[in-house]
Parts: sequence; structure tokens; C-alpha cells
Amino acid sequence: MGARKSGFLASAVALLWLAPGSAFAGGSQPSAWVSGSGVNATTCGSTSSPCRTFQYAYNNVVAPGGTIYVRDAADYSPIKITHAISIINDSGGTATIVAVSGYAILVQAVGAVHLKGLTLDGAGEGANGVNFTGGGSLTIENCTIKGFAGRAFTGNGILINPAAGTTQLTVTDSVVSGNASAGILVDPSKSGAGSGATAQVFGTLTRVDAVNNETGVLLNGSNNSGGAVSVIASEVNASDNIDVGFEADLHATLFLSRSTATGNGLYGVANFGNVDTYGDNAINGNRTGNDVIGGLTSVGSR
Amino acid sequence: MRNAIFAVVAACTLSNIACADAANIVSPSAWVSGLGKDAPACGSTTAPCRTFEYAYGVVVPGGSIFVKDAADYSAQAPLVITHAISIINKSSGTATIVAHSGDGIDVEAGASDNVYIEGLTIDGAGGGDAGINIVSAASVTIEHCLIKSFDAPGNNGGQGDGILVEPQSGTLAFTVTDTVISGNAYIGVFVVPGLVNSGATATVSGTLTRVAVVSNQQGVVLNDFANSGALTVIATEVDASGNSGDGFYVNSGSSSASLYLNRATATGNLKYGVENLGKLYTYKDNSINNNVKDLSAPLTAAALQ
Repeated sequence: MGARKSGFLASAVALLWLAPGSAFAGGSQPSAWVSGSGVNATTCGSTSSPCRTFQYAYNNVVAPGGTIYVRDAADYSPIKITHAISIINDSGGTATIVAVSGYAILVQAVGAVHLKGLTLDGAGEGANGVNFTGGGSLTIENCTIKGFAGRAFTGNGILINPAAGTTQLTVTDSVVSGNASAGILVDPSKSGAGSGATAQVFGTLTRVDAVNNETGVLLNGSNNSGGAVSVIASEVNASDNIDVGFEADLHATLFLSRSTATGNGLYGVANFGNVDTYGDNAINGNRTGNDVIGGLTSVGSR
Repeated sequence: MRNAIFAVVAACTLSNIACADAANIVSPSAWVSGLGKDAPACGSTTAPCRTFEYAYGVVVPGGSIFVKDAADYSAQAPLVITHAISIINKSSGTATIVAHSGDGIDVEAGASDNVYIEGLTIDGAGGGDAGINIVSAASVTIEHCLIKSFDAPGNNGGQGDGILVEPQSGTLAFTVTDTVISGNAYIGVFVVPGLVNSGATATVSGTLTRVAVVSNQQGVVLNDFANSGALTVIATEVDASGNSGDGFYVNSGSSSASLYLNRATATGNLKYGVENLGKLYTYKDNSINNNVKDLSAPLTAAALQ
């Protein structure tokens, strides 16, 4: 009985020490599994004893640079990421983060972050699906991001908002839909919304549906005159957005390759910065009759 | 308290949706499972609901129904969607709606409502009117679905279709991506504003991307004879092949209905690969060969940009 008591005490102390939000950030294991039937506890993470939430596995089990694997369908709650990590769901089932306020995933990391197979849902209330303010690389693969609310720096499926450093963004085989601001907004800024940023952002968007948002894909470098924004959109469908399909503003360059824009409320493509085309995009039937404003610059594929 | 719960449960026998409303159980999302139970408090991952119809009544407008595992999620009637909702199955297993009669899903939502459907198999099982019948919404997005075997007797336009888009007025957008529409007795994708009542004034835009529309009677049909609004669809990497009629068909009527073919394919259709009775545009990058007849009339060249 005494031994059991002291064991219980030790567990309680360990739980307290390792609770999410504690100063202890990052574990020592190369990977951890999460499950809807998992339990957040100090020894969780094996396939037979998975953790319950992304944040717990991230804070307490997985070493920086490691991987959280999804075992089955569940809601795994919002997560804040400050170092390299992968969250991988390869046919484990619908793995959601429902965020009725704030972010689903906040990335402040300087390192490689990889997100695969997730469904991020703002349910018409949350602020942003993925809010990236760090540097390094962000890969988003086979994700569905929908229903985020707000304007400008909120209401975006994916918000890329670093102040400095170099960011490589990769989004493939994903859907950003029904967000009140942009499906994908790249808008480097100081302190979230201020000018004077110096970020270098390079990105590719491939086989992405950016539909039924206010704007599908929006690149804005106006707060980032000391940096650069350059994104290649390949086979991206930016259609049926309330305002614009593709938009590049000051100090931002967008390359369009085999992409589509139709049924947008104002323009298929709005070029207020630099939009380059490989001459192979289908841009017709936008509702004001103005498929392109600001012209497109032809560039040759090589 | 017990009386209140009893009253709610009693209401369920009258209407599942009324039941959830009466209980005031409204959450941003609800889970469904083959092991779930339709009950007033259902919807968590540990106590999922059993059918889409019941879960629909548990979720706030704009929220989501998530699929937990493989099952048939049909209720007795078509799933009728009247407000914004998402139904999402991302690799949880085969999630079906079997509709041997009537429609699989009816979308009759409001002018600002976005409807999102991902990862479902909608099966007419040799009966059924339409897989997804879209009457009204701001937008309907269909990703990674299989819609097959709708074959209700009659074939009068509203029956035997995979996806039927038939708004009467207002503005409607639809997106269909990475989806297969196969083995339907009438039309795979049928966009026909004013099907029910002529004199429609709908503005419709749509994209079909990486969609196979095969082995139906007709593949993709735009028919705007009863609509004075506007209709534009871009079909990108759409394979409309092996249909017993046409692969692609457009009848613009007196309107501006336009279908743009972009890297699309049509072969093995028993009538035309492309039957053009209106405004059918090509970016000149399509493969249309080895149909009984490839083209009924020349296509209009459109410029890629």
C-alpha cells in the first residue's frame, strides 16, 4: 500500500511537471502516436499507449525535429509550434483541429515543420487555420482548411506572416475553402501587421483548390519592402471567391502555371505587384467580365 | 431535469432535427460513426452520432460533421441541407450514402451558405434520382467523392444523375475536384438551371478538376435553354469517356452558357466526344479521339493566359 501510494505520488508529480504549458518544452523521443482513445500521460506515445493531443505529444514526448503520427480519427485540438516538428496523418482517419477562436496551428518555429492529412476547421469563428510567423520551412500536404473568420490578418486558411528570415512554403494537394479573408495570405509584417519587415518568402502551391474565400491566393509585400515574396502556383484552382482569385500586391511576385480562375466576383487575377504567367492558365468567366486587371507578364518555361 | 430530457427524447421520435434543436445542443462539429447512436447528446468522438441527418441537427450552421470510421451514414430520406455545413471524411474508411430511391443529398441552402463535402461514396445502387442535387447555395464544393449507379426509372432529367445543378435564381458556385462519377443511367454532371420551371435567372459558375465522368449515358452536360442568367464551367483534366451518349454536351439556349475544355479527355463515347450546340471553348490542349464521332461542330478557340 505504501509503495502504491508513493508510486501514485511520483506519477502525480511527473504529470504536474510535464503538464502542457509548463516550462518543459520538447521530449526526447523521435516520434509519438496520438489517438482519439489516447491519454495524455508521461509515458504516452507508443502505438499501444498513444497520447491524446498534438500539444501534449509535442511538449512532452517528441524531441525537436521528430514526428507526431495520427493513429485514428479524432479532434486533436489546437497546437502552438516553436521548433521543428512533423505531424503526419497518412490514412489514419479524419484528424481535425476545430478552433472556434484563435488559431488551429500557430507556427513560430525556425526549422522544418511538416503538416500532412489534417482538417483545420474554424467553424465560422476561428481566426486562422495555420498562422506562420517563424522562419524555416513549412510544408502543408493533403490538408483541408476551412471556415475561418475575420478580415486582413484573421480569416485566412493559411497566413504566412514572418517579420524576417527566410521561409520556404510548400502547399500541395490541399483545399482552402470558405474562409472570410484569404484562402492563402502571404503578408510578411513586423509584429503581425507593421511595416519594415525583411522576410524572404519563397513558395510553391501545387494542386490546391482555393475556392469560396474572399480572395483565393493573396501575396502582399507592402509591409516587407526590405524583403521579397515569390510564389509559383501550379495547377491551383482559385475560383468562385467573393473578390479575386489570384492577387499580388506591392513587392510580391506570383508565377501562374496551369492554373484556373473562374467565377470570382471581381477579377480572376489582380496584378498590383508582379504576376508572371507561363501562358498556360485558364482564366475566363469571372463575374465582372474582367478576368485580369493590371496585365500579366509572360515568362518562358525552361 | 429528468422530465426535460424525457421531453427531448420524445421529440426525437417526431423529428431528429427538431430533437437536437429542442435540446439546444449545438456545437461547431459533430462526429459520426458506424458504432454511434443518434441521441440528443451525440457528436463527440467518444459518443458519435450514427447518421449524417441526425448530426446535421446537432451542428451549428457553418460547422462540420466528421466521419470517424467506415459505415453507411444514410438516414431514411435524402440528407437535406438547408444551411452552411461541411461533411468531411479524410481517410477514415469508406463512408457511404446509399440512396436506392430519391436523392443522396439535396442542397437547398441560403444565398450566403457554403456547403463542403469530402470523401463520400454516394451510391444509387441501381435506383435513386441524383447523387447530389444542388438547388441553391452560395457554393457547393465536392472533393474526393465517388458518385455512382443512380438509375431511377424515368430519366426525365432529374433522375439517374450523378450531380444535378438546377438553381432557379441567384448566384451559385460549384467545385468538383478529384472525384469519379460513374455508371449513372442518365447524366454524370448535369448543370441545368431552370430544370423545374423555365424562366430561371440563375448565375452559375463551376470548375471540374481531375474528375472522371465515365460510363454514364451522358458525361458532362450544360443545358441553359430555360435560363436567362449566366453559366460558365471550366473542365480541367476531366475525363468524359465511355459514355453511351456524349462525353461533353453544351446547349447554350439563348444565354451565354459556356464550357471551357482544358487538358480534358473524351474517348470511347458512343455518340460524340463533344456535342456542341452552343458555346464550347477549347484551349486546344484536349484529347478527343476514337469516339463514334469526335465533334458535332467545331469548337471555339479560347486563349490560355
